[in-house]
Amino acid sequence: MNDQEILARLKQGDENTLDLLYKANYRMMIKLIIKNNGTEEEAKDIYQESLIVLWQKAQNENFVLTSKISTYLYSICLNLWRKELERKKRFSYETKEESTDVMEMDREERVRIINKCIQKLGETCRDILTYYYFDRLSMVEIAEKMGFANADTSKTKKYKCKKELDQLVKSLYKESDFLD
Amino acid sequence: MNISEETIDSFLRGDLTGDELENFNKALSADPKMQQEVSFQQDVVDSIKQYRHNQLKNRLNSIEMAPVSVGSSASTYLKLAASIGIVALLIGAFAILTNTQKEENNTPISDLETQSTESVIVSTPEPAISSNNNSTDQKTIAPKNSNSETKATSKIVDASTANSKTKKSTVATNTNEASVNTSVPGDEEMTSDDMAFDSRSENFSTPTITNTDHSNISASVVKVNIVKEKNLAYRYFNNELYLHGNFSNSTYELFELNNKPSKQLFLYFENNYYELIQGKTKVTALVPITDKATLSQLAQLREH
Repeated sequence: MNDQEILARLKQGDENTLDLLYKANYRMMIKLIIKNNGTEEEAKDIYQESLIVLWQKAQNENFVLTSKISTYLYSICLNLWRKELERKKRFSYETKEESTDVMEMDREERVRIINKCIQKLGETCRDILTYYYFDRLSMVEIAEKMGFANADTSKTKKYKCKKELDQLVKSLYKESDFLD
Repeated sequence: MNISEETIDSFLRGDLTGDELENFNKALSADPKMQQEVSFQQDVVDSIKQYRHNQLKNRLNSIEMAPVSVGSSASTYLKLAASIGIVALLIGAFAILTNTQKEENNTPISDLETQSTESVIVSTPEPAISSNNNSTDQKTIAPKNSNSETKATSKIVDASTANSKTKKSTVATNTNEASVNTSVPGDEEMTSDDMAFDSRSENFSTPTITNTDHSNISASVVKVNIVKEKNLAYRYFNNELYLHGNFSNSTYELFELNNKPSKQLFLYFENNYYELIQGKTKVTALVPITDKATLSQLAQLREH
């Protein structure tokens, strides 16, 4: 597979290709970060994040690969790692502020509730919604991946699934007095 | 202006740009009730994205990779040399095994590959070859691994997610030179070990399971194709196994059980075992095995 083929497969949301890409560039990227004062654990984390960045970028129609995928990954890794180093530095200077902010606590509780609802959702719904919002697959691509008859089926299902999730969340919010 | 549900959804997905986005924001700022709704849905969509992000991350994280050592002590080099030797030995052995297979089946692997479905399958060799023997004679193949071997081979197994494993059997890799395409920008430390592992992990070939028995060495080759579908099913076509199902979020494993005189192939997927009966040419739904004796045998095999 050449880079264009890999990219095309990533665009279709082919996770197996993501795995292969991960394995193929693993040693190089891990070494890169270890050499820049990272631990292997940190290196792994940054590298995985970089691949997910690429995964999402590949969905963008305007995305053009101007270098080899490995070179591109290399630069994402390096950027993310620099950011992480800066964050660490800043963090060590700041006095730790306990976030007793009521708003913040509310937000955490809301996220917790939503996640509970996502778990409750059927697998099909969860897949459709994540493919649609995160992977940004088209309705045709979702139909192919899920084995639906056509894009209309994806669209209808996506609509229903989103409604179902919204309703679930709203009903749990009510229990926790988040609404009204 | 009234904001349609569809527009809100496009906004949340990040599809609105330029004028569309401007109009949306304008309309939104004039409608507090709508603001509340959009902010609610924004939370939901953010969580959906986070969920998928974690899912992908866990997926990558579950791919076990050999530790990377940056240092260059003598012992690492020894280890490298040893693993290169073993890899070379394995490739040699596989080449011979695969060749024999080709003749028997009369279907060259390269042909099979061009017919294969779009899915990518990684081969997972878990060979059991006695290590101190450089001969590739099939008779040297024994089910017991020596320690150093286990190390090298387990690395190979870890390198894959679409796991097809067989226990007490060897899995032949098909070293596919066309797919060995490693690009290495600016890493001066790439050793031949790197290359060996890289080329192996880029090996997009098909899992070819070659079975060996204690007494009687017999071999079988299974080429697996994945057909993404909701329900688990399988069929054989053209001597290839077609697995239907959703394997994108978890891995599957294949086992071969040698209950003389017949051999049985089993699939392990999401805590269930399924029997794959060879020669089923129609798509057959997979039903988990409930027979206790078989299950315990399989569980034993899998734990091994």
